[in-house]
Amino acid sequence: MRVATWTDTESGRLVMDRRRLRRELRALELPARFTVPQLGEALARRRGRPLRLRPEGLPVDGLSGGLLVTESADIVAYQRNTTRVHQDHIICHEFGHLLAGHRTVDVRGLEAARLLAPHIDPAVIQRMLGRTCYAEHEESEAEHIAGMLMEHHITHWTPREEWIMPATASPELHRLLDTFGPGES
Amino acid sequence: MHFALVYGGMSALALVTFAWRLWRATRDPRNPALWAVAFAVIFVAIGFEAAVPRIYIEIATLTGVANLASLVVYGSIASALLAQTMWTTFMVVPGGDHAVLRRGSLYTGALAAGTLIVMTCLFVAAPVHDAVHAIDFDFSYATVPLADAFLGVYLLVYSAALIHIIRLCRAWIPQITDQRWLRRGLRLLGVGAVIALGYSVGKTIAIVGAWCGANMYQLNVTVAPEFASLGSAVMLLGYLTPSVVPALLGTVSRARAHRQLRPLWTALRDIAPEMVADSAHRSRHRNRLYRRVIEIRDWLLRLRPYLPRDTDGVAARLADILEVPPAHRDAAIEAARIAVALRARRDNRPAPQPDNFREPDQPTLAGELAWLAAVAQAYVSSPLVPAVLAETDHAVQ
Repeated sequence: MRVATWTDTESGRLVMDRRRLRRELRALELPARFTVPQLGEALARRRGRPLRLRPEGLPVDGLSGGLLVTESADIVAYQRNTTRVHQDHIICHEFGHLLAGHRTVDVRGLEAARLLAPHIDPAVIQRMLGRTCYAEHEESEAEHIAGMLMEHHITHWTPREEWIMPATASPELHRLLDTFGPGES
Repeated sequence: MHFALVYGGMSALALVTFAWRLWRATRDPRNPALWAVAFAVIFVAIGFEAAVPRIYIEIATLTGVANLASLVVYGSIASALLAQTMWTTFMVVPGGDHAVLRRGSLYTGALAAGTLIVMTCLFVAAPVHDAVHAIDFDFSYATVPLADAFLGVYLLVYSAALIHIIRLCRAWIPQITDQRWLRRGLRLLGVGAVIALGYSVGKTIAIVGAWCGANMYQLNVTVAPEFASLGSAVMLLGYLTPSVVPALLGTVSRARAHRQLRPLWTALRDIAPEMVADSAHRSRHRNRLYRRVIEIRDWLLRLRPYLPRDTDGVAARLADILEVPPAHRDAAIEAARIAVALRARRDNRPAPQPDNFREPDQPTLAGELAWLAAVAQAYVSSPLVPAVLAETDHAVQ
């Protein structure tokens, strides 16, 4: 079994900004606002592999989330024992790594896989990438992207409820809000 | 002086609105409706700026065409209204059908070009180049057929575009329930358009009156333009309101919540200070409040092993004794639980059966914010916190 973490190959480069993130999201054919599952589906399409979200009772002093790469699918494991906003943020952190195109380095360690995914058979895990703290450049960038995703794009969690149009509203009204509201800012 | 103030003020308001709408368009450059709105507003600014008497005269002096500014004013306002028709097209096309949108855009663009060409031809052909009429062009040439044809084309486009937006606003407003500032913005747009129609009515009466021999100077030169200015000002506010007001209100409420969270954030920070995003990245976060929520949740997660399961019962009992108001009870109990867990962590006493920290009632960021702000306030001010600490300290000893 192989376990992987994100590598910091280009230390000192600028983190992804809003403009580049919007470009990435447009390339994924996502609208200005979307849900966490919609982003997951778009990333899965790009990677050409199924991507599953899986809550786990992770040890609190270790990883709060991570991406496990198996032969058949990618699995984002995230902390079960926290609030939904926090869970979505943890998932978006992992998506942030994928959006930023971070490369991975294989790290071998059965224990590490058990910490992140105690209910997933270590034999099927090929690589693993996790969120713990964000001192490293790549971790810091993924955290930054998670913040931008949550603050500006994840519809359900936007702090500005004034700017959320219910999904049941007509497309005309959605376009009106996109045109007259403050947009993603 | 009056016209300089009114038209100059309108031009300034339109320029501010344009700057905001342009910024919005650059944030989402693939949305053509945003560009159409920005164009509509800049044409309003050009139209009113050219109507300022000093500018009007300068245009005549620079070009040698006595009343060229009238063509600029009317051409700009007609273009503004046609750009407005353009963005409404982007709203109403079913499913954003690209072919229909392209046809609609071409139709509106052709209408705009045709209108400007016809107005220019009529202006050139009309005998209106003998003297500069900075404020009374329409009055001075009210009985000149070609000048009336020029004004007639303008008034036709102007009125039709305003009636179009009034009808759309009437259809949209009842459908918008929760977005109160969008609703208010559309209402301002509709009301402004109704007021602006007063210009068409006034000008039409003034021209007909002139042909009948009546002196309609006040109506033509003062009253009708006041309707246009007031209507345009209200419409510009309609373009600003849905985006600017919620943004300002949000900024104020976020600043308040940020302050409210600070005591709790400071108390928890020692758990894992490395989890605070570094200052370079923090400064790029447009919403530091969001980061503060995530950091608090990261730390509470790490604090969980130190939260004894029985603290809840102790805190509830003491809350009854201290008669903590029901509205603050849950937050005060949670604040007491956090205080107990922090002390246990300092003393390195993990709980044999750790409990979970509470979820907010509303599983949204707004709900999370409200809950954590209430807990933070209780953490520094509720008498329950020291009472629970004392009681549990006694139990430990």
